[in-house]
Amino acid sequence: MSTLNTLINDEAVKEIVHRWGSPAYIDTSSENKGARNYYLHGFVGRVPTPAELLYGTFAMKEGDVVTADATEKYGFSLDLHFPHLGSIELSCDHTDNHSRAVFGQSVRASGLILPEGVRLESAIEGMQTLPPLEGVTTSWMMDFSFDGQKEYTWNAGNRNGVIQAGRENKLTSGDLPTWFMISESSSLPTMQSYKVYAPKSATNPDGTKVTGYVSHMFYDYQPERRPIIVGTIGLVGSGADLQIELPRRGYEFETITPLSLRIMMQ
Amino acid sequence: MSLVIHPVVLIAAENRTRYAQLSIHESSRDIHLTRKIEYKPALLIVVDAQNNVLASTVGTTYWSTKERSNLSPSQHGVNFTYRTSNADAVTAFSQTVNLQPLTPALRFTPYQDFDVALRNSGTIANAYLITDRNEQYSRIDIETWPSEMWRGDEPFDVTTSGYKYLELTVGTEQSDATLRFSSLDVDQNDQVIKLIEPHINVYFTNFLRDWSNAKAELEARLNSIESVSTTQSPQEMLDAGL
Repeated sequence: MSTLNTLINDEAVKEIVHRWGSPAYIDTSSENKGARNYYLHGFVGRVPTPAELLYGTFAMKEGDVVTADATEKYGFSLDLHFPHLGSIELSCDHTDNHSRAVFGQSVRASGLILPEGVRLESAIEGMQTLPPLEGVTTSWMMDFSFDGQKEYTWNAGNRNGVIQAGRENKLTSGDLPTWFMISESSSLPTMQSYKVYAPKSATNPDGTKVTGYVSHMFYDYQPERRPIIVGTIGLVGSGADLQIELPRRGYEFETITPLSLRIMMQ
Repeated sequence: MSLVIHPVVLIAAENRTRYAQLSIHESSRDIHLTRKIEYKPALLIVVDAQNNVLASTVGTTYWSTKERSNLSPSQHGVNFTYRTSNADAVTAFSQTVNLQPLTPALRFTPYQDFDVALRNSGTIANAYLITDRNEQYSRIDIETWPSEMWRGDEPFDVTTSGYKYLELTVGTEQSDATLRFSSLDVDQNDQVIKLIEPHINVYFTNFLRDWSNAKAELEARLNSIESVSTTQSPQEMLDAGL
């Protein structure tokens, strides 16, 4: 394998990821020309391992999301669509709504640091460049701060299925979402799933017991759906990558109140 | 810290059709400086042990994920067998072969497909890909590049030149080198040497974090699922009652 360092060194790598994570413009008019959205997707259940992310292959088994006795009832509990609560949109334009946070309105982002000699000029009225916050360098991949008061409703996922499983005490990961991914689409990647069966036995006489799902993401199209960042969700003080406020009782899987997400590159 | 940044961030950050670049693409004359690799003019030089340039060609660099990565199946490929039905037969099992990591390659596409012009005779020892980050030179016309880098009149040591470069492994067709040639001995009178493929893909298996354990980690997770095995054949699984 080749060494990348002579071509792009560590500093250059930091600049590349910083460019993705730091928006350049926000559009404060109603014209919606800011042209960038980040989608924060929430999930319950087991946090995928780095290896699964690298191979784009989730190897899910009983107990990863719901208890073993509930697997048959929740037929898709082992596929990534079941634990998916949905997403909220972090947007450079539009206006805030119950599933969307807009930079410059209810969420703050540190903007893009450009190389020397490069200036941004937009011909579109209402577009504002988003400045980097004080003290930020290109080592900061992403720096988003929320006001901590607003609850966002998960959109277009299986929130209701998870709520139902939670009411029946069948969820194995507790009362809060456990992990998140950020991509550039509100849809999950297209996946091909392989259902794994147990052999016929005394406990499985008709052989319908499913022991696992292996779901493989297609990466070659719909690239905006690919997970870019994956991390854990937890309450303040938990050490999770994305810290959240405790949801209102009864709304644990319905909404999320994020606080901040800051990723710095070593 | 459990946070994972996936190497596809390279494409998301630099590809000109993706949102990060699209949102700023018309905004400034110098906006190309916001990219490091994507759509950069590049020079491929093939040298002998004394850094004489034996062959050279120009083209463009990209981050590519258009096809399954081509890493060594034994080192990176994951295979597994799993039970797809309740049948008591070997046909109840299915196999996947050579599941590869999904990671961007650095791709060099020469302007002249396959042909690399010969400048001198000799034995190929090394090759280098040199990128022009500032986009001063051409992706098509090698003569826009400083002649000492490609013409072969004098030796050229890119490692001390100050240019950004990537060293590429070289070998014969049967090898697993990045650049493979039918022969490492070249004669200038042949005019060109041929690349095996119309582009060169280079993979970095430790980008942003140490991925060296990823194959073993995925295999362990697969093996922890009942009726999945990364080591057994369908017959062996059937015999074992899986």
